[in-house]
Amino acid sequence: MILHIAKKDFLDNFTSARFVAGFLLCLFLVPFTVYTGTRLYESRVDKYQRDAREADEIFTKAQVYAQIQPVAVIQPSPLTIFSKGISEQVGSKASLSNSEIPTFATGITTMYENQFLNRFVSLDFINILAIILSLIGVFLSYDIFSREKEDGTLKLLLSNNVKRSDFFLGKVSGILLTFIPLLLVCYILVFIILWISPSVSLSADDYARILLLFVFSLLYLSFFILLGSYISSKAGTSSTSLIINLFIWCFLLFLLPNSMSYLGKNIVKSDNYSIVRMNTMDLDNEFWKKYGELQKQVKAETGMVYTNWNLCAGWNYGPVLLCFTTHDVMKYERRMHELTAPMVLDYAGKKWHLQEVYLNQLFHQQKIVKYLSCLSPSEILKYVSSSLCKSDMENHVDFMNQARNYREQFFNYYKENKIFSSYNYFSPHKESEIPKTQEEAMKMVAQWRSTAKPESTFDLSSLGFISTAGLPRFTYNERGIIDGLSDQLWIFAGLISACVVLIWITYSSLIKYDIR
Amino acid sequence: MLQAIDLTKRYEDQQLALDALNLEIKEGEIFFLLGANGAGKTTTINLFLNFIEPTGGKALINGIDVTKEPLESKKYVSYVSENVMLYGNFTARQNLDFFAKLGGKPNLTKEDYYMRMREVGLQEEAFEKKLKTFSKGMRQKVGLTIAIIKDAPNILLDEPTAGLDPKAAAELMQILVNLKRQGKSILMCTHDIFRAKNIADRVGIMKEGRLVMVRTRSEFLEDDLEKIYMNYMQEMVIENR
Ligand SMILES: Nc1ncnc2c1ncn2[C@@H]1O[C@H](COP(=O)(O)OP(=O)(O)O)[C@@H](O)[C@H]1O
Ligand SMILES: [Mg+2]
Repeated sequence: MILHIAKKDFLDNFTSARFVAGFLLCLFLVPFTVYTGTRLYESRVDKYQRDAREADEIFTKAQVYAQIQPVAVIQPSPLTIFSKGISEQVGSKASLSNSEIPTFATGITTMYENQFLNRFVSLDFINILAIILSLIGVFLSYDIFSREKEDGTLKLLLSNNVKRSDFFLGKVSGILLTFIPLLLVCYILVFIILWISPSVSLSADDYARILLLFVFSLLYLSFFILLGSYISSKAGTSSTSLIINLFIWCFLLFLLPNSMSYLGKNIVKSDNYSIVRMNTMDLDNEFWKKYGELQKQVKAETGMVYTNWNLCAGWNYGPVLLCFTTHDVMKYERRMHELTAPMVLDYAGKKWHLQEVYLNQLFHQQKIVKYLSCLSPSEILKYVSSSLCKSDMENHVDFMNQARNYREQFFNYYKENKIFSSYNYFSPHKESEIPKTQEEAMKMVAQWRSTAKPESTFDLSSLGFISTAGLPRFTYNERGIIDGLSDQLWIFAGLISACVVLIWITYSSLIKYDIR
Repeated sequence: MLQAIDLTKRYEDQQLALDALNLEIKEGEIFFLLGANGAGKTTTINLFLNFIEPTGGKALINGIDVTKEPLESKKYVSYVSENVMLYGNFTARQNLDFFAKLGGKPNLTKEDYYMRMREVGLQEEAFEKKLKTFSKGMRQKVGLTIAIIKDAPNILLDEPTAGLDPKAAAELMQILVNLKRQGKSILMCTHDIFRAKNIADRVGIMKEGRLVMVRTRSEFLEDDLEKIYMNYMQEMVIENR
C-alpha cells in the first residue's frame, strides 16, 4: 500500500507544474553559482601559489637567519565551491614573526566586526540549495493532505483497506522520492562543472565529504517536507496552509538567523580590537625601555664606541643583514641579538595573553551566535556544510593554531641551535672574515664591488645564501572528517530530532485528521 | 448486506445528525435514502465508512462492525461520492489503476480497464486523457468504474447524480440496475425522487436525522411517492417557519 501511494505521489509531483518550475530554477541557478564559485576558487589557487612561492623564497633566498620570518599558508579546498563558509573573510596566510604571535591571518576583511561570524550574503551552492530546496519542499508539501481532502480523493482512498499510517508514510515517502532525482541532478551538475574545470581536482576524501553533504541536504529537505506536511495536516484548507508555510519559511530562513545573530552579539560583547592593540603597545613600550638599558649595558661590556655598519640591509631589533663591518661593532651587535632575541620572543608571549583573551571572546561570541541561529535549519545546513567543506571557524582556528605551534617550534630551533647568538644570525661572513679595522673593511667592500659587480648598493646576492635544509618547515595537517563533524554533532542531532518530532506529530495529527 | 442498528450520531456541537437509524439492505437490493439537504444522508454514509465515530448503535457491513474492524469492513464496500475530482494529472486509466490496487485488484491489465470504461459508457478517446480535462459527468463515470472494479458486495453512493445531465443520470441508473442484478446491496442517497421511482426496490425518507418512512416498491408505486415526499418536505418548510 505504502508503495502504491508513494508511487502515485511521486508521479503526480514529478509531472506537476510547481515541481517542473523548481527544477528549471535549479537547472539555471546551480550551474551559474557553481561556475562563479569555480572561478573564485581558481583565483584563490593562484593567490595561494603566489603566497606559497613567496613563503618558500623566505627560506631559499635567505642570506642570514634573522631574515627568516616564516609565513604559513593554507591551500584552498575545492570544496569551498560547495560552501564558502568564512574562508573568504578570514584570510589564508599567517605571518610568523619573532615579535608577534598572530591574532588573525593576513587578509581578513574586517576589524570592526567578528570575522568568525557567517555573513548572510554569500552565494554558494549550499546557500542556493538552502533557499531553493526548502522553497520547493514547501511548495510541494503544503497541500499534501489538504489537496486530497479538497479533491475528495482522500475519502475515496480511505474507503479502501488502507491504514492511515500507510497513507501517511506513502505520502511522505512519495514526496521524498520526488526530491532525490532533483537533488541528484543538482549534484551531478556540480560534478560536471568541476570535472571540466582543469584547476579542480577532488580527492577521495573530498568525494566522501560530498557524499555526506548530499545526505545532509536530503535531511534538510526532509525537514521542510515534514514541516509542510504537518501544517497541511493542521490547516483547514490548502490556501491557509500555503500562507502559514510561507510565513514559517521566511521566518526560519531569514528572520530567525538575523535576529539570533543580533541577539548573540549582544549577549556576548567583545572588546574593540584597537583597545587590545593599545594594551599590547604598553608592553612594547616596556620592552623598548629594557632594550635601551641593554644597549648601554652591552656598549659598556664590549667597549664599542662608534656604530659604523658600512653595509646593512634591514632592521629587526638590530641589523638584519650586516656586511663588511668591523669586529668591535659586530661583537656588539651579536651580543645585542643574543640578549634581545629571547626577550622579543618573551614579549610576543606576553602580548599573546592579551590577544588570546580577545580571540576567546570572539570564539565565544561565534559559538553563541552559532547555537542560537541553529534554531533555523538553514543555518544548521550552512554550519555543517562549511565544516564538511573545511571552510568553517574550526578549520580556520585549527590552521592558525598549527601555524602558531610551528612558530614556537621554529624559534625554539633557533634557541636550541644557538642561532640567535651566532654571527650568521645577522651576517653572511664567517667570524674569521670579519675585518679588524675600518681600512680593512673598506678594502673588502671595494674588492667585493669590483669582483661581484652588484647591480646596486643593496644587491647583496653575491654574498651567497645560507643552507636552510635543517630548519623546521610548516606543513598543514588536515583535520579528518570525523574531527570536523564531531564539532557539529549537537546541531546535527538537533535537526534529526526535529525531523523525528515532526514525523511523530504529523502522524498523530493525521490519525485524528477529519477526512470529510 | 448493509445493516444499521440504532445508529446515532451527535456532532460535537450537540447537533443530532442521525437519530437511532435502523436499516437493513439485502443482497440484490437498491435502497434509496431520500431527504432534503441536512437530513443526515451523508452522515449515514460516513458512519458506514467509519469516517466518523457513531455516538450510539452500530453499522455493519456483511456482518462486520465497522468501528471494531474498520479495515476489514472496507474490503466489502465500494464508495461513490458526490463530487470526486480524482487525480487531475493522471489519465482515466491511471486513476483506475491506482484505486484498483488500493481496492485489492492488483493484476488488472489495460484492456480490463478499457472494458470497464466502455461498460459505463465512457468514450474511447477519454481513456488516456488527463482527468483535469473531464466534465463532471465523465468524472462521475470514472468514479463509478472505480467502484465497479473493486467489485465489493456493497455499494454506497452519495448523491452521484447531482449536477449530471438527464442522459448521464439515466445511464448511471442503468449501471446500478446491472449491479443489483449481480447481487450487490446498494445504498443510494439522493434527493432525486424520479430516479427512485424508476429503479428503487425500497425507498426511505429521512428528516432531521430520523428515518420517517420506508416503502417497498409495490407500496410506493400504489401511493403517489411524489406526494408523500412533498408532504414530508412541506411539513418541514412549515416547521422551519
Ligand atoms: N462536522 C459536522 N459538525 C457538525 N454538524 C454537522 C457536521 N456535518 C454535518 N453536520 C450536520 O448534520 C446534519 C446532517 O448533515 P448531512 O448528513 O451532511 O446531511 P445530508 O447529507 O443529508 O445533506 C446537518 O444538520 C449538518 O448541519
Ligand atoms: Mg450530503
